[in-house]
Parts: sequence; C-alpha cells; structure tokens
Amino acid sequence: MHLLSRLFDLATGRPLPDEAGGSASRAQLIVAALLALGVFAAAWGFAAGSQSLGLAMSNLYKVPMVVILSAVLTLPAGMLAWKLSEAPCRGRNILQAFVGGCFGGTLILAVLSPVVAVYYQSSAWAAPYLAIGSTFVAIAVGTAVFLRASVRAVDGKNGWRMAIPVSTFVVLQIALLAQLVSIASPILPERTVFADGVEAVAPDLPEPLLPHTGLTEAR
Amino acid sequence: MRGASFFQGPDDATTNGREGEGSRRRHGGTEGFVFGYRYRWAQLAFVALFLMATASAQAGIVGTVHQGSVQEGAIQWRSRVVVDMTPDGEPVRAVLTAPLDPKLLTYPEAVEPVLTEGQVTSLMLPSCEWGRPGAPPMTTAMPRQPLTCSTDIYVIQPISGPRGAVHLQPPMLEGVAMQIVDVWGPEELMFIPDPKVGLEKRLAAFTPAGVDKDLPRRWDQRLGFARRGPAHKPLYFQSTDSLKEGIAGELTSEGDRMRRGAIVAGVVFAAIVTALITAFLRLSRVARVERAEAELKVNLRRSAELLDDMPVGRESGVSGR
Repeated sequence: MHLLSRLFDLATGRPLPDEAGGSASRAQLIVAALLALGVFAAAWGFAAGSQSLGLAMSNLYKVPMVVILSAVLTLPAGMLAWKLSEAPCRGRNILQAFVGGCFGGTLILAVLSPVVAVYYQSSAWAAPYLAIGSTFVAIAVGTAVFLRASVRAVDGKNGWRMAIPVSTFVVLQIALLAQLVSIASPILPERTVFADGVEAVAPDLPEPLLPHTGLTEAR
Repeated sequence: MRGASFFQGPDDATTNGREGEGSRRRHGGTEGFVFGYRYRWAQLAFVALFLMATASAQAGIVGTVHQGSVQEGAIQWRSRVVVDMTPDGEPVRAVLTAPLDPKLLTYPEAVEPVLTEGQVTSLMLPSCEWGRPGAPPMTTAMPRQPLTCSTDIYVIQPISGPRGAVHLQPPMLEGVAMQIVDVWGPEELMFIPDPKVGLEKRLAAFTPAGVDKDLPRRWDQRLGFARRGPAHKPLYFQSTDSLKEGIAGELTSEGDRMRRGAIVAGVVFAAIVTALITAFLRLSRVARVERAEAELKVNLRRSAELLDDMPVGRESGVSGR
C-alpha cells in the first residue's frame, strides 16, 4: 500500500519526499511504475478486444508490450537529450517525471477500460471511436503530467530549458507508439489507419492494370 | 561577330549579314537563311550527317520495364520494351537472355517471335517510326532526349506460391539495356532480392552497388516509368549473365514483415519485463535496508533530541552518577 501511494504521488508530479528513502527506493519506485504501466495497459487491451476472447487474450500481452517498449526504448534518447541540453535538473528527476507521465497516461486507459468494454458490448459504431479517443486522452494527460513534473523539477525557474528533453521524450515515444501499434495490430476488432504505421503516410499510386486485349498468343 | 555558329538568331544573322562578304571570302561556300537562321551549306551537311550517324548508333533497345502482378500460382508480367526511333524503319531484334515457352507469351500483332527448337529466343519488335502507335507525336520539334517508342509483351511465369523464395523471370533482354523490375501483389507484397544478386538496397530502389544515386530517376524518365510510391522499391539493373537464371529473392507480404517485427518486439519485451521484475525484487531488498537505516537514523535523532531536552543536575532530580 505504501508503494502504491508513492506511485500515485509520482503521477501527480510532486517531488518525492525525503522519507521516500535513498536511491534504491527511488529506483524501485520507477521500476514499479514501469511494471504498473503493463498492468493498466493490459486492462485497457482486454476491454478493447472484449468482442472476441482471442483478441482480448492476445491484447493482454500486446498492449502492455506496446506501452512498455515505447517507454523503455525512449529512455536512452531522452536521457541523452537531457544531458546534451544541460537541462537544469537532475537525471533522476526527469526520469521520475517521464515515468510519472507514462503512469498517469496508462492510469487514464485503465480507468476508461470499463467504459470501453461496455461500449464494445453494446454499440457497433461508437466503441472504436471511444477506444481510439481514450488513447488520445491518455497521451494528452501523460504529456501534461510529464510537463508539469519537469517544470516542478526545476522549481518553476527556467522551465523553458526543459523544452528540448521533454519534447524529445514526447515525440520519440509517440513515434514508437505509432509503429509498435502497427506491429501489434490487430488490437481493435476494426482495422484502423494506425494498423499501417508510418506506411499510411506515404503516397501510394494504384497498381497498374495489365490489359490483355488485342494481343496475339505465340504460335 | 566572327565564327558564327549554326544556331545563331535572326538578329545575329542580320548583323553578320554585313560581314557576310568577308566571311564567305575567308571560308568559301555559299550562305542561306532558313526561318531567319543563317547557315552555310557545309555546316548544314555536317550537322545532317552527324544527326544521322547519332541516330543509327543509338537505334535499338533502350531498356525494358517489367511490371509483375503476383497471383496465386503465377506472376503476370507486362514488359514494356522501349526502343529508339529508327530512321530506316527496320524492325528491332530483341534477344532474350533465356528462352521462353511460347505458350506463356502474349504479344501485339506487330511483334514477330523467333523460335529456336520450339522456344522463343528473340523477338522482332516493330520499328519506331513517326505515326506508329506508341511513337511520339510528329509535333515534337526539339526533343530534349532521343525519341523512343514502346512495345508491350506479356509473359506468364508459373510460381509455387504467392510468397516465399522465388526466381523472378521476366523476359529480360541481352545487352546492356536498362531493366526496371517492379513487382506487386495482395497484402502489400514486396520482392526483396537475394544479396547474391548484387543489388544494393537504397531509399526508394534496389540498384547495383556504386552507381549514381540519381540513376533511378533518370531511368524512370527515359523509360517512362511511374513509381507507385516510396514504400515500393523497384529493381534497376542492366541485364547481365548472372541474372539469366532469374532474379533470386523472396516475396514477402506486409503480414510476414510485421510478424518478424512482432517476434523481435516480443523477445525484447519479455527480456525487459524479466529485467524489470528482477530489478524490482533486488531493489526491494536494498530499499528495505535503506528504509530501516532511515528509520534508525530518525529514531536516533529523536533520542538525541530527547536527551538534549532533558535537564541535567539537581533541579531535575536526576543524578549524574
């Protein structure tokens, strides 16, 4: 319970109190938050795939994979951006802020998962919009939490100097999310534009037709 | 202006007209005007001979665009053979790199296949003349590049399945003509050539190693080939002996490519989750010690504060002994 309350503190973006312990306790909190992302994402995935048992069960693995991989694979580039931009905060603070943002975002997914499940069981057209909309809300909330925690990490002074690392984290995670969703597709019962990943952005001419009229077969 | 060129403008010609007498005396020959351009007969004859020589030297096959539609058991090829404009009106002989089963070939009436031992070994393509279907319009006055026209032939290549290892066998032609191969099929099918073929993967094409990066664009322009999008990578090469047996490679669908990515992502995900759980368990032990130390410190500090607050001596009733 103690750990859970500290996880929620992390999501609010407040700096951790001294009583939170030393470096090992802080690291444990970050690892616990990353594992919690998987649990929350799995809840949403199960709800989004609840129309068919197979899809729901596969989403228990696929959606956490998308969320955790995107978060973990963003870390190296984000931390490098923090270092190179000489952001006026400690590395552990921006790491806590980022993980807190991810935690907050997936928390939104988890709390909206019952609504998504109910709509998938009762509505043919609204459910996919609600499911996709909930992911956008989660991304927006996660970004806001991350931004707020980052600004708090520098006590509100020179908050603009956090722009480079924060934007690097956010842009890279969204780019990774988009591509991992295409790898993990299908997540929703409907095929969406996200299933094609970045390929959907590229212009594509139709395949040429090969007419066979007015031709002679070889003798 | 001295040494006037053949393509001088009318103004220059007028200006030169005053010097014309001197010029004629120096170089000999007579002068005339066509469309306001001044020429000398000797220059005109030279240019005409040069153009004829160039035309006859370039007469022949420019290249072929092979477009293959992959179906369940076959690839349906449309090979657009582009030939240069020939002044003599003679048919162009296109020698195939590999003999072709005539049952699998379809062609326009103007094409004449040459059979050797029941197999098509070459094709006599219609000459490229003004007015021929597929030839450029006669209004093309000053072309930027040599004029060409094209002939489509169709070949069916049986394959074992729509995916997996395959030898693409479009009707390739002998010589150093440009070859563009573009394959498509259901589920965003893509052909990836075997590394042994020697084609290098580029941003939007497969080309031989070390060629100019601008080559695909120039060949597209020359052969009139329109790419379907940046996600598609056609093959650009010149027909060589190594490709007589076909182009070895693999046909993969979008699902195949995604499946590979999903397997890699799954393995990485499993490794990350294992590492996170292991780290969590180890950190929890260290964190417990940290918390115990912190509590101990707090208790010690409180005890020390209590001791500091306690009065020492007779007033307090506590004996120092």
